[in-house]
Amino acid sequence: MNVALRGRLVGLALVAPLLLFLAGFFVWPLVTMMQGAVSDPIAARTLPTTARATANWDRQSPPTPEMKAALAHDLAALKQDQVVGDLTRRLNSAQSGFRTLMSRTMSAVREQGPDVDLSAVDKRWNDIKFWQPIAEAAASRYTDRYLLAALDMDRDAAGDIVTLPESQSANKAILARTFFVSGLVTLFCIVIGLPYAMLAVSVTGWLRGVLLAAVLLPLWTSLLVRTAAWFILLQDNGLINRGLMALGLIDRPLALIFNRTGVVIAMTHVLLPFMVLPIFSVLLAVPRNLMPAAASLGAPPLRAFWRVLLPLSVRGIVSGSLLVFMAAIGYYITPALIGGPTDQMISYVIAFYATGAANWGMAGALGVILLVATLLLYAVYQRLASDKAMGI
Amino acid sequence: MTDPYIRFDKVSKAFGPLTVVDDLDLDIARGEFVSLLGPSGSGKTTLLMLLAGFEAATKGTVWLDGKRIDRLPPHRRNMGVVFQNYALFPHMTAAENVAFPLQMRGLAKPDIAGKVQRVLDMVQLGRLKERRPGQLSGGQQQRVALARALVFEPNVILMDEPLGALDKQLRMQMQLDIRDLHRRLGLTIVFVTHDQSEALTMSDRIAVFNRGKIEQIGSPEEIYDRPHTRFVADFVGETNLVEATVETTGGSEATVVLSSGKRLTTSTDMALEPRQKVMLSIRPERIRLGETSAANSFSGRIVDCVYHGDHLRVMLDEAAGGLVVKAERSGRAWAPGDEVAVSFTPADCWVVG
Ligand SMILES: Nc1ncnc2c1ncn2[C@@H]1O[C@H](COP(=O)(O)OP(=O)(O)OP(=O)(O)O)[C@@H](O)[C@H]1O
Ligand SMILES: [Mg+2]
Repeated sequence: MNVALRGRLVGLALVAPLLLFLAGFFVWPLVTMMQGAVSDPIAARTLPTTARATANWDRQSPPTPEMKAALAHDLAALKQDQVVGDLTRRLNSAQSGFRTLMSRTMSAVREQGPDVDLSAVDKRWNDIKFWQPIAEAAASRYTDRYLLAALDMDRDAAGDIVTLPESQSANKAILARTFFVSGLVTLFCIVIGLPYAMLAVSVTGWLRGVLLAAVLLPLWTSLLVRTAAWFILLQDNGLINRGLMALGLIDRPLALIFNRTGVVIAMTHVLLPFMVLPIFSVLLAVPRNLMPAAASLGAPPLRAFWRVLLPLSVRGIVSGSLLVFMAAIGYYITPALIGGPTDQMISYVIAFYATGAANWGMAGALGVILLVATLLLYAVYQRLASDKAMGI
Repeated sequence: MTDPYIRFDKVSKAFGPLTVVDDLDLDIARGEFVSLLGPSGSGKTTLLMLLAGFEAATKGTVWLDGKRIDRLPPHRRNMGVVFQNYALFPHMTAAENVAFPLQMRGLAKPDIAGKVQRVLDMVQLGRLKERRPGQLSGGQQQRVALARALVFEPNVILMDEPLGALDKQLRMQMQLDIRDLHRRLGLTIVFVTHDQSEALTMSDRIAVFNRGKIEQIGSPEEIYDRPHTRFVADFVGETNLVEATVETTGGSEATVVLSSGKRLTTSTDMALEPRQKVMLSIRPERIRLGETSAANSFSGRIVDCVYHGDHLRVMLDEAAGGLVVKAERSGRAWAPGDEVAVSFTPADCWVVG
């Protein structure tokens, strides 16, 4: 065997475990989740005849007898209650009333066979309101309704995209809140992390070790433990409030927990290492004598910082911000434990749909929106962090 | 003598228990080019940093033009510093680097552009001004650093081994360029180096450092021809150091006896006593082989002979004091084992104490 080919095969064999792991535990779930966000196969699978009968229906005129016969025929073929249940839930999510309508119709079909007259079973079968969702759902195995719903939108009867009234959904507001809180946390991480990293770079020996350990330590403890610790600290009779009251700075406890303040404080602390470390490593590579050089050229300390050290730390600040922001928009435990009901972020909603409501379509759609937002950010970062933009 | 432009008055600098600059006095006149020459760790950079204001003296005072400056922060000292590894700002172009000190002084934009262009043309970098340091060669970076230190017409220019990273060719070119700038602009320059030939080429005066003290300060000729200490003789250039005992003294000459019993006439600027133990410094290139004309002459045997391109290095046996001689290649061809006459003048046989 040729040596180069062999070398390549050996290399491939070495990374094979990683590739397999990535394929099995990253790519596959990701694809499944994204598929879940757009797949809607239940009606198309269970109502094939109806799908054909409604294909040319204009969705405005009254339902024809052929459509009704086709539906009765399809329903009669459904043997498993589980499938009927899934179909009913799907239709009911588009139009309430299907639950009773379907159970009545199913018992009629099972008693009287596939030739039953649906209009006689329930006169709602003459209403196009109930036929529109059926036609819609049966027409395709894919749907954009979850993605639209994730952005508080829907299709009206004519199939046009409309924005839902605020009372009906809050996804967009929660998404906006997620970005706002993440942005705020990123900002605080910069404000605290940049001077901290500068300090850590400027000292040497054991002092630097201690400073770095202080930011790294949180990374070595469980997120849940850290969040719980903040829970204890931020309480009304927690250490912080009691300390401030003992000092006489306040006479009533500050509201630090179950609100935005607490969430931002705890998340800033938890995510700080991801800001400090990139800035630290970037600053470490900055030659030591640049600041003295700036001073010798007549720059007072603040201007030297502004013109020399800050521009050179930008790369670290950008990577740190990206890491912090991306981690923050996916945060779940901290807002769930420390935030109030109006501080929940998008992950909370995703978790609700995934584990609470068993609505994988919605969970997937929100996940996709989050993924797209993250990828967009990454693209922006790539532009900002390119050597050309950095000028190095 | 008029008041010195720069004055170090009994300056000491210690890092913890380590005294790096030790009770040092140094005066530098306006327009002078002074080199600080010394081995690694002898405190040259530290002295420069004391002058630039990056380090504070533990003891003593520093004066510039009659004003005490050791309490002044570096950005108010108006000194151009060229650092050992240039310390150019990597995120700025050459022109922006050079414009930086002018911006800090609040000059108007058009004035800045004009001055930057002029000084970059002077160091022959006018065409490369839009490049960033990463896109420039070592020599070009060095010239940007020089331009940046010159552009704001500082009181003094401090250079810390600015040519250390360059290859020999470029280094010699830059040495001449800097010397030329110094003459044309009448700059006061303090130049740190541990390369003795660089110091000899460029300086008005050389201060030889050893362990935080100045061993000797003087013109290149003084330092090379009339070293005061064994350290200076050995550090600056190459020399033969020979122990001897004083026999008779008279004015600037003395007669000494070597351990082998040979009698030599030496020159000195020290007051010597008979029977005093002294060290002689005899430069290898001042010793003549195959001649007996000079006052000091004797014969010896060649032990080894090494080819060095432009000269031959001839080692003599113990009877001839174990001297090393730099012989011209155009002269006779020497070979080991040859018996040879060795001679040098009293002026070339210098008592270093
Ligand atoms: N910030 C500092 N802290 C502690 N010791 C220092 C510091 N700066 C310099 N030293 C010590 O002071 C001594 C002199 O250093 P300096 O840099 O002045 O030497 P130098 O003559 O410039 O040497 P070189 O030719 O190698 O540059 C060295 O022993 C060095 O270790
Ligand atoms: Mg040095």
